Amino acid sequence: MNEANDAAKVAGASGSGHPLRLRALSHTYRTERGATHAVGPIDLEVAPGEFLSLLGPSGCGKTTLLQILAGFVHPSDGSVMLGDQPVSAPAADRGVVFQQSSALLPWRSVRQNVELGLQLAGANKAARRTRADAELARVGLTDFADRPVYELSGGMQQRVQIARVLANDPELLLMDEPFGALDAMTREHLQGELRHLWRTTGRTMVLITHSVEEAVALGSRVLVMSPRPGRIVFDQPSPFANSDRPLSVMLDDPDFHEECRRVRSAIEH
Amino acid sequence: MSTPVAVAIEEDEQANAMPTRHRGRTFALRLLSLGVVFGLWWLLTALKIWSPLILPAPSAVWRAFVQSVTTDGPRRGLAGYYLWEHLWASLQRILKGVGYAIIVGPLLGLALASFRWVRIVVEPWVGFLRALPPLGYFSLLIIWFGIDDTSKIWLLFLAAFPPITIATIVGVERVRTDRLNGARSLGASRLQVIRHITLPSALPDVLTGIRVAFGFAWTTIVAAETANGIPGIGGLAWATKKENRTDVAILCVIVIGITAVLIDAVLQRLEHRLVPWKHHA
Repeated sequence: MNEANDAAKVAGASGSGHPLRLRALSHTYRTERGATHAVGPIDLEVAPGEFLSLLGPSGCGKTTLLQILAGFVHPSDGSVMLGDQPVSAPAADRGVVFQQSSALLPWRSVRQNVELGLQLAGANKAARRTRADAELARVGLTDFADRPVYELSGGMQQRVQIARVLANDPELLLMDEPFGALDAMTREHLQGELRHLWRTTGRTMVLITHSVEEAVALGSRVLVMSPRPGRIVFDQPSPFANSDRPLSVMLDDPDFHEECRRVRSAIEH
Repeated sequence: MSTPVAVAIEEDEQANAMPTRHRGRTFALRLLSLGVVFGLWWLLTALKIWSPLILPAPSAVWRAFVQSVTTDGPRRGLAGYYLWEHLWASLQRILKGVGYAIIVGPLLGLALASFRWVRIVVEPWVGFLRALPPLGYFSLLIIWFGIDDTSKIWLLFLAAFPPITIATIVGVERVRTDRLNGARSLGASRLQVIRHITLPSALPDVLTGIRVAFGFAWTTIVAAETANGIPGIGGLAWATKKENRTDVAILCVIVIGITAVLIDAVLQRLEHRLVPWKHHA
């Protein structure tokens, strides 16, 4: 890898990004016991820089949809395009934050975990370190860079996951209940951080969550899926993503309540 | 799962789950149990219930130990070698046999876990070999490789690599899907996933397999040394029957047992050094 390339990686300027297009997307799991139509058909267009919150009852195929976007699962029908590139396999342009921190590598330090993507791409040591330290600063983990990841709390480990994805400079951030395993206080704190990250990086984000409040507070656009096979039954912009108020304060806002109520009724419909 | 390796892996996890405050008491109880056994041994021999040929006194075993590390006129140690020479001869065989197994076992395990067709073709043979008592095929090895060390090292290798291979398969299959997918979505190629994710993730289980292999090889070598096994601690133990040296036989049992415990302790230390994250992953 040449120096210019490394420099470009490190700079990581938030480019304009590409739209994400889902066309007649549908997926059926086939096992020995038969076929399960999990998702679709779904048609969806996501503009660069949108923050999509995805809600839906358990088993509605939210995770399947996210795995298709990540490229872990091949859809049985339809297509996903990121710009003019079809999505068919996992790649560095689509970062994934998992619910469980077991996705991290326990034998590596926090910094080495964040460096992984750059290392895989062949970036040199200095460039890796510079970029990793910048991302660690962004998520407030500078003081923990040399610690093994397993010594960190659950909330900190989720920040490491976010930092390692951001270090790779993906177009799309896919998050599957990233705060689902955290306690309420930590969760609220990280929600605020995620909102800040979205605004400062301009990345397109997709967040799967079970919490209507989280979806409405963070998403610039809230989507609700139907029970299996999951389809989009609710798709509306949310005005609260640009608010500066913390979630706890928002809970007192009648408008916020009204919005949550509308979303909740779409789920229960 | 009920393979010895799987059991070892589980036991290992349980042992480490023991709260620290119980460890001191456990140690004291074990020391007490050791003292009781020694006391009984001494008492039984002091009461002269059986002839010393059946059960020699602790002092007789101590004299055998002194003999085993000294020269007295034409006598050099026991059976012509000092105790440590016997022990070192056995350990060298172990290190060679298990050493080859440590090279072959993980590679084979990785291949078996990664390629379906390799698994279909090879796994039954590994399972078959593992099920065989090594001494069952020792005669064959002697016929093929002679009565010297080569056949013994082959025996140890064949005894040691199946547990390592199987532990590697367990380790590779236990790697979390999230971890693999995470690396792929960070841009890892298939080879990079194996190198950066699969192998290090499986390392704790591979090391457990190596510990099981050492234990198994140790029990095997002592028996294998019944054929042309001097010098060798197993050979020494076996030779005592001709001269009715019960004292030496008991000495050998103690040395063999302590060595086995020490080997395992060293390997456990090594494990803690190499995979400190084991119980956090």
